[in-house]
Amino acid sequence: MSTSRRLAALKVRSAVAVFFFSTAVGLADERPVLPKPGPDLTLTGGKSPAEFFGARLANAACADRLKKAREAWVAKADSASVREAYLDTLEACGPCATREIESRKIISVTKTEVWNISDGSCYLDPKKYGKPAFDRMVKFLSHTDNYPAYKAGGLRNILEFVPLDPQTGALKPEWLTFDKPFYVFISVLGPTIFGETMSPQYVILNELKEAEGKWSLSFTGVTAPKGFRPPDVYLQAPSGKKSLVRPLRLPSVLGQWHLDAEGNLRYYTAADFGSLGFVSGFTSKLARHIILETLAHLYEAGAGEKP
Amino acid sequence: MRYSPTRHVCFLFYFSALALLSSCSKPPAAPELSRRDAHPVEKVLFPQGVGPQEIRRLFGALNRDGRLDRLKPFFFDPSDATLSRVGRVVTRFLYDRALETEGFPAVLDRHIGAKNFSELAEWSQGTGAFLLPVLNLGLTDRRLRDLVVQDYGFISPKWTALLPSSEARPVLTDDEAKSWAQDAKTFFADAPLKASSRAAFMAFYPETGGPTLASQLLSFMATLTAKQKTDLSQSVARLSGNANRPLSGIAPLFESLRQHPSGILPFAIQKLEQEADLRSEFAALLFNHVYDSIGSTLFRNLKSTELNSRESRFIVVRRSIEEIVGRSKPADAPDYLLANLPIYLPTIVTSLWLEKLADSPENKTILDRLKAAKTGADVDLDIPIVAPAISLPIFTKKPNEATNEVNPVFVKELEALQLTEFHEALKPLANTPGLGNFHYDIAFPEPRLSFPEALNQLLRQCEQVRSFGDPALLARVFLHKLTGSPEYRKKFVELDKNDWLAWLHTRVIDHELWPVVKDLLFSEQGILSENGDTKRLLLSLFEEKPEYHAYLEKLFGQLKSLEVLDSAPAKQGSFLSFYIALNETLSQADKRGLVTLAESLSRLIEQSHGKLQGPLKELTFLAKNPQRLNDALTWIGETARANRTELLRPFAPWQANPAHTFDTHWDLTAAIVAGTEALPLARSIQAGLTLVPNRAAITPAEYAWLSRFVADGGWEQLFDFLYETTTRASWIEFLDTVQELERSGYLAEVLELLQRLKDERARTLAASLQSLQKTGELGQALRFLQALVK
Repeated sequence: MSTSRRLAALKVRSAVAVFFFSTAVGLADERPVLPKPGPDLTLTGGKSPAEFFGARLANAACADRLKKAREAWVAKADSASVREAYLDTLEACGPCATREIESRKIISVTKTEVWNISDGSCYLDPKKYGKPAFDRMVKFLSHTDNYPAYKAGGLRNILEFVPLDPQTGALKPEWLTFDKPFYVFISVLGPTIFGETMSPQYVILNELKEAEGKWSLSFTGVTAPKGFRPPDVYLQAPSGKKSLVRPLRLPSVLGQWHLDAEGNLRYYTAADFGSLGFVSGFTSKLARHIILETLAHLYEAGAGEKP
Repeated sequence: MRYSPTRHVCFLFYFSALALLSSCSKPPAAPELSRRDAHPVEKVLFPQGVGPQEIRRLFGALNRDGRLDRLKPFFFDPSDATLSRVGRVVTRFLYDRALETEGFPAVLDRHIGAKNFSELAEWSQGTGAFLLPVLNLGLTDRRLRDLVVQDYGFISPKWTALLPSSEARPVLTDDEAKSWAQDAKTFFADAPLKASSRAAFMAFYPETGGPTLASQLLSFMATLTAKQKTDLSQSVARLSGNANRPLSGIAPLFESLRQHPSGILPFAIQKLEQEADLRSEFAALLFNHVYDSIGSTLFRNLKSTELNSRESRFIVVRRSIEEIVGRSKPADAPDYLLANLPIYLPTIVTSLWLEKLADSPENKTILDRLKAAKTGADVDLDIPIVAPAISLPIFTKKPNEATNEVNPVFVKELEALQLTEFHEALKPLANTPGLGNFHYDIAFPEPRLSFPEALNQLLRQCEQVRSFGDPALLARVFLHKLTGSPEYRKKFVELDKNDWLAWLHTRVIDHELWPVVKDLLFSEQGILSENGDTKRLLLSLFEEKPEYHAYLEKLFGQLKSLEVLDSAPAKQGSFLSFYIALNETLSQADKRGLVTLAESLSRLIEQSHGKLQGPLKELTFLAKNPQRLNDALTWIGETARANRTELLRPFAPWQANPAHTFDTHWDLTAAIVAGTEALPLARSIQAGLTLVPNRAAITPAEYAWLSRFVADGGWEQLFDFLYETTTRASWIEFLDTVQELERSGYLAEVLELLQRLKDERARTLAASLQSLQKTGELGQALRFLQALVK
């Protein structure tokens, strides 16, 4: 083949490659950004949360199913299947609901990012629960000691939540409140496969915004400060047996808690799982259950009763 | 030797009657004739045996004065055809062989001498009275004809000699007997229970046509040690008494495995093939660590290691890691340092940890056991130890400087192990960024834990500092190969089409593979664990196919029942372990038989739930009496060891038509059970355990005669004749008449006349009958028969 023909062939191949590359880039998703603090109108289909959740709660049959599922869970809190049944019913009938997990793939030269976005909300009818519910939820989320599962009343799916010094990287469990931009090491409960529990772990920077009747806590994953050594994280079985979890250290995460006195509670997170993907039906369901259960815990903290 | 009446019932009933018939068919002496004249009896000859003409002539000669008229319907009136039939039997089995040492007269004489008829009559008036209606039902049932043909081997002296003595057999209390009777009535009246029982029975008769499964079962039983038999009885007893009815779970599990939906495996493979992200995720989730493989390898290798030696410790750990992740590189390899970092660093940490472990006085037991293991002793190393914590940064700050150096503790180890090249290569890394963590900070949340678990946790923490390798990489390659290769896909398609139950029995249920499968399924970390997500992950593959999803969900639930079957107290064999051991000894055909047997027995137990209330319910009698089961197993094992062939011999006729054999036994038993009042039935069952044949109940000569009689069709001809030509009323009449004749003394005269027969065979037969009458045994036999027939 002559040089000119080789060059021509090369040009054609380059053109084809550019076309496909462009196509890929053109079809690629955008990285997620934090939503504007407030109720999730996409979840509600444009309806007000009061209307959306009110209609669900007014469905007597559905409410009855939820009541029974809740009672079963209360009676058998350690049963995974009963817990799942409760969460599924809560999702369908209760004052809390989540969106389908959204996956976004960002392909670049050096890596493929797989962002999974979870977004869930609860509605605590202000006529019924009033501002005290809002205050109680704010109080809960404002203290780092309330988060980890091993603390009394902690969130089941947060295995570790410990502040750290941005200068030294040292863990500071005694720092309890979000009174400034705040670095936290967080370890989230992941799937347990063949007895090993995986736990996505992040160092996040939290930023608090407060106004009258509104409270939002945003967080973003950051590179851990120099000197930081992640602590060993354990999962404690109902039997009391502790087992070390397998960390999945993921740098890219962002999220937001939003609360307001109008009864809205929303929890949004997005994280890049990279090569792990976590896009299957299994992991999506797991993620939805995690966010729903976390919201339900907050709902209970505010309303004084399980949703 | 204890006399058992029932073993002679059929024998005596029919043959005594036959003998009487034969004798009574001879004419009495005619008193009016002069002594010089030949009596008509003397003129009766049997040139071609006993035929209608001979019977009528003999009867006519004996009945010249009409005193035997009441017997005419039995010996004179029947048609030629009828008399021919009975004549053939008499000729062939009584007359032709009358002079043989094992002929009928000899047999009858022995019983006369032993006064067995008196004993029989006494028994029928006393303890056996309640059994007579049951016997009557059986004896007058047409199915008895085939039953005798199929079962006469069970009274063989050789076979009965194998049985435990009647004294050794369990005795039921009244309450127990009543419960058995109640259950028996329900059991035999239930069509589904019959179907399952039939299936269980037919499991012994696979397409090969012979009871090889029974033979294999006996061989297996013969190999069991005393402890194994105790374990097995206790396992069965425990399962029988389990409220969750684990034995009932076998049938639905087997059914699900056999009737799995087609396409389930190709669907999963296709899905993984088409969805690269899912494949990658599965690989990462399912195959996410190597430490446990290293841990188990190291645990095994430690049994031959001297822990006091630094070199030994290092070598065993290094070799264990290398077994999983590949060999370390030699010092002149270009990537010597980078390749060996994930091997040498955890090896030194683990070696130091083992040294610390050995230094702790609390761990003396494990050290002693490791020493014992080195000698080949079978010792339990899975015992609690005190796991020491260890903190070992590979690099530490140089004194008074900002830069790092290799930790002196580490250096000491490297030098002692003569790993100077590695030390030299490591030094420059002390201050190189981007190499990750080098601090091994090993802690145990629960300091007392088992040795293998401690090793696992140690290696797990080592892996978190520096990965041994990317196991998911191998998994991805594996899944890629699996899903991308037509050859593998074909294998999955084949497996999908297979009978999974057969596959389980041929490929999975064995002692090598089962522990792995068991761990994979039932361990705290296993697929079926409620605490984990593995099951959900696997099920998620089938979300778009609800029928597959539902099937697998059901199957996983059913597999849980295997866990119960496999559970046993420490150092005790589980029920499943015996099943596996048995399965391993079987041929393919017998494995299929075992499957059918297990499935149908399980279904039987399931079906009986709610229907039966007594000891048969869930086999509760086993739960209450593990010792009885143990005794039975011991007897079977011991007997099978020496006399397996002999033990199975009576079952040989069953092979000809096993389905018919089953139906005969079932239907006859069902008819008897249904037709008997509850109390007599209870008594019958109570007595039944001692009514099965006793040792030496029949002499070899008698058995030889009987077996020839049955095998040559004599029994069937006789039964057909009696069944077709007689009725209960006619029997009553016949017996009453004979009794009257006997009491009046006329029968004695008739028997005396028979001595004038010119035919030696006929005379010999007549002599035995005369002896029967003279000793009073005839009267006793009549008493018994009257009680039986009425």
